[in-house]
Amino acid sequence: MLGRFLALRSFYALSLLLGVTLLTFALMVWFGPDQTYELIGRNSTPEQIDELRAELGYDQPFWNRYGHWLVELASGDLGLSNRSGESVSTLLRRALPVTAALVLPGFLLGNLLGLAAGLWAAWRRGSLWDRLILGASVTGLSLSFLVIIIALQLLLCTPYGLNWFPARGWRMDSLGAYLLHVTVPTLALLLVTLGYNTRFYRAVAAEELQRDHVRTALAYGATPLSLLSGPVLRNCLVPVITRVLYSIPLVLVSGSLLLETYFGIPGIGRVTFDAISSGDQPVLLAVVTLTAALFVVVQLLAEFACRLADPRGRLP
Amino acid sequence: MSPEWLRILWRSPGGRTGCLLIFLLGLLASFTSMGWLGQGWSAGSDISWGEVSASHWFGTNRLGQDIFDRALVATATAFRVGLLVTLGAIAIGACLGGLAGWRHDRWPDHCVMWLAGVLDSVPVFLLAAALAFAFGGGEAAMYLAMILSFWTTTARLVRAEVMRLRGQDFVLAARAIGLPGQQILRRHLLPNTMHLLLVQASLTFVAAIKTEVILSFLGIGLDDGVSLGLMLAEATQDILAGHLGNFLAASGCLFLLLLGLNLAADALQDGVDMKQAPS
Amino acid sequence: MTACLQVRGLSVDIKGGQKHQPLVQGLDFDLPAGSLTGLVGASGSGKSLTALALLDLLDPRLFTYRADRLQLGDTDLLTLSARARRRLRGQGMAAIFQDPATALDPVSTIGRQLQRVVSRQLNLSTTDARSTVLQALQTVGFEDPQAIARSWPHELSGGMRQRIMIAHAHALRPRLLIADEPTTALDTGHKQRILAHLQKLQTEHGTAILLITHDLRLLPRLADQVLVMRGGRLVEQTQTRALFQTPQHEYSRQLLADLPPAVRKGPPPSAVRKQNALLTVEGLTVTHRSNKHRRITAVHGVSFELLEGEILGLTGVSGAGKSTLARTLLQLHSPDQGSIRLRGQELIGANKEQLQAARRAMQIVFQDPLTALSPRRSIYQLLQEPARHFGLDASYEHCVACLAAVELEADVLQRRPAAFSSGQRQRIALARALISDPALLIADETLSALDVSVQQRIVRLLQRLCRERHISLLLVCHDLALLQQLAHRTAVMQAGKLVELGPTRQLMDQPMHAHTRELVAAQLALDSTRPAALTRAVEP
Repeated sequence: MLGRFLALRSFYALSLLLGVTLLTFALMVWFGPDQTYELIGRNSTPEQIDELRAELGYDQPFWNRYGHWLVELASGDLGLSNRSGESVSTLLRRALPVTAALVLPGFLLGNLLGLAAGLWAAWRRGSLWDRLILGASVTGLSLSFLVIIIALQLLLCTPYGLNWFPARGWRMDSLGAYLLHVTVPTLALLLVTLGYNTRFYRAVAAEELQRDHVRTALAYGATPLSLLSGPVLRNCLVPVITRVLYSIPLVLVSGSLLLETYFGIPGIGRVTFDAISSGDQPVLLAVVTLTAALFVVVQLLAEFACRLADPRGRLP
Repeated sequence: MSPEWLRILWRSPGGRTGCLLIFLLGLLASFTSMGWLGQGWSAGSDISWGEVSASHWFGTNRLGQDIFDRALVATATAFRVGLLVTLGAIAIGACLGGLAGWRHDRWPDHCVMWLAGVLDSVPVFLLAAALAFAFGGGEAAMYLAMILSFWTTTARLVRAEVMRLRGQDFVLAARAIGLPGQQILRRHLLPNTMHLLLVQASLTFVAAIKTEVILSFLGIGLDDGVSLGLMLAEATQDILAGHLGNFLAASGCLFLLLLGLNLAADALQDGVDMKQAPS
Repeated sequence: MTACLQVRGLSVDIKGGQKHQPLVQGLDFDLPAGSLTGLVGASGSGKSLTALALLDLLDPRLFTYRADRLQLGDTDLLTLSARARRRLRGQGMAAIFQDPATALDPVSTIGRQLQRVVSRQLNLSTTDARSTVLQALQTVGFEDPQAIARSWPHELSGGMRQRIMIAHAHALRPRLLIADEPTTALDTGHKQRILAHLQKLQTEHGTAILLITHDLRLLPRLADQVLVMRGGRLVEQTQTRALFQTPQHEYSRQLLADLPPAVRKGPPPSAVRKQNALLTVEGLTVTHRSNKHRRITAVHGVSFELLEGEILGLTGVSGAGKSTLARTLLQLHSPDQGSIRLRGQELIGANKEQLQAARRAMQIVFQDPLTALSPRRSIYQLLQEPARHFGLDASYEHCVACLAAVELEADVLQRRPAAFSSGQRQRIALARALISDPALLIADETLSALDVSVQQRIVRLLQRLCRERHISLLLVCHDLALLQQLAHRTAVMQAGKLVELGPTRQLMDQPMHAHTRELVAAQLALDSTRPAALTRAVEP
């Protein structure tokens, strides 16, 4: 039964992978602009051009090129950056730890605080606390990420405000330097995710608290803390796991995109931004494909985790 | 459509505030698009970063353009982007979600859910980047990316709701008299997902405006005219020089618009929850 | 006898709704220690609100309650803090609720959740708590308590889960147990066992029990006293025997009169005049896909005939395949084998026109009044829909006539389903079925979700409709007493098979099949406990 489930879900994940690679390949390589003149000098001969086009595979039918690209992708060969000529995989491997170190504190804090505030608000539903928390999160939801970043930088990193933190740059050579550089981005990430997380966890917990088994536990004298940290949290595990896992690729790429561009941090987001603004096809293609692949893997992991968390095999 | 949802909105203070905000900003936006307001947005003058004055309520920007007028036009743009994306995403989401729910666990369901799974795997900014790259930039890529990304949530919710309703006795009763499937879907199921679509519409509106801001800032959104995102991008330059006019005007409009929509979505959602509670 | 619980002037209000009448108004009653008190009344009479108020578990956002006096033993509950009230729950007072499907934490094993409660309440070590739990499980009749402790709630049946709820009480021995409709969701056989275990709790530990129910029939043997509620007020409070022999309040008399007559008592329905078959079912087999890979046979080789003008009962425990059979007749499920003939016309594999004609002649009314009508459409639109679909008279006059047939006025037409009570909705559903002037009506547990008084009204309505309009009725119903009242003949299903079919009275008097005997015995056990006066009380 479980083996069959694993096999089925893995097969489905594989089909999704095929779908996303097909989508990105079709968009960026097949329909995308011709790369020949990006790569070649002005005064090149027709022979050189033909040679390059053959190397890029422009003379091949779609499925051949797609298959060829898939094989390269599977072997870890992501090509060379048009802009720097560097191998894309080296570029990404260098950027990934930076991004991870940048978003991890905000991601963890955002989820933990959101979960705590959400549970508390759900338990005291309708109370002043609940309304305060909800009001704060609606305000948070109504602020654009960009506005938050600009405002925080203005307030904390410029002479017009407190000027406590550096406005740009990134250093990880000592803990002090790391904390100095990571604080403002973390605050920004917290502010933008906390509203969403709190509301989501509150809704999940509020629904669970309405169930009969909670009323039964109360009728047998359960305390709020034992109830929230025990049965309620355990019953909320499926949506919580799903949300946390699903938001990993989003935070890694979408979250870091703006943060790193704005604060000049050399992570995945910065690499992506540079690729977008300079039309660097191999890098952009790699980022899009890998993010999508990561998402598919995360989905699969979430399903397995939920399967373990809930004996009934309830799926997200 | 019955004014029932309006009554629900009007019942709570939050909903009322949200309604008023949307209505007010919508009014300004429509006057602007009709050409009655904000016509001086592109006319430059030689007063760079001008002070707040009777003729320039929020001052001027680097090129001496009136920030108040630009904020009005940007708000109108935000409405245009939001409406277009919301209509597209909700329509597609309702149709495909309804189909998937009705034909649950058959091939239409599998196809729709597979497609949603594929599109959900690509974050909207990256999809926009890929589309902009493929089409050589432009507004169309932005709209397409948002619609392609945003319909899936609505579709999943509509699908779940249709699946829930499908097992209820009134649908069985309709099937028992031999009513064809698409009539049941149209008459009995989709009308019952209306509340859900309204909530989703306001949330999609919010997402569209927020996404536009970031995409325009990154340079893959709107390429001409004024939008809140473009104003904020401009503001990042101004701020280093200590001029906050652009930033305050754009972020203020953005905040009020998003707040109105979020409050309305909340009030609608509460109304729905309350209605579903007893059954 | 000392009072375990004293209640004076208990009222429950909607929060902020001072303008409305309170939902529960000025309740005064005592629950003597070690006694069982029945609290009866129709749905919406405030029974459950009373229970939740006693437990201090009312949703504080929606309701407020007040009382002049609320005393458990020597403890004055009104002066206690919320925290102290909470500490009292468990060993002071505890509760069992209606729906066993959702009352247990779905992601903990039975043993773990019982142990959690026990070790917290009794301050026991893990091993002691474990043995207490196992003992409690054994007390409520589980032969292998170890295996039950290891299982998950979703692996157990409704009756088993309800027994586990009672095991909670056995382990903690509260002074007062409030049981809110504990048997309503269960089959007759399980009802018996649950009630027996409740009684055991009362006799072994001296627990006072407040049994809330809409079914008066449960009370004569069990209850020492009965409280009758109507519209939030206590209309009668008396010894059980006194209530059943000499009910004082008019409403109590009405409730007693609306009980269906006991099995093997009361007049059988008059015989069917015509003898030609309307519906012939032969060798019908239906399998369901329960999940992706397993198929279960819901109906297995069922054959029967339904005569013109006949009311045929169909009974069995839940899961026996009654509803699947009823729905298959309407082609809502496609059968794997067998034949269904309506007036000689084969329906399986019939073409579109033939099916359309058959559907016009067969109409169905479902169980759940809450979901039976499409919520977004007016009653007029709902009635017109089948008429238009079959190309029949969809005029205002025709709709009004059909409503009149179910004793409803024309003014309901413009309203939506949410405006009506359960009984009214079931009658609207009936009117909708009558629009196409059917020859056969299928009632799928139509009577089960209704209060006794409403139930009897629908019973009389069905009888009259069948007589006046010459409609045959297939009545799916798990309550043998109702079947005896209505059905000319009754079919008994067990695990998808039709095990017995015969004239209803004969089936009750001399059941042939072992399963029928079980069903009748379970029903008799409920009935036999009535004082003789009760049977007299229901006769006009």
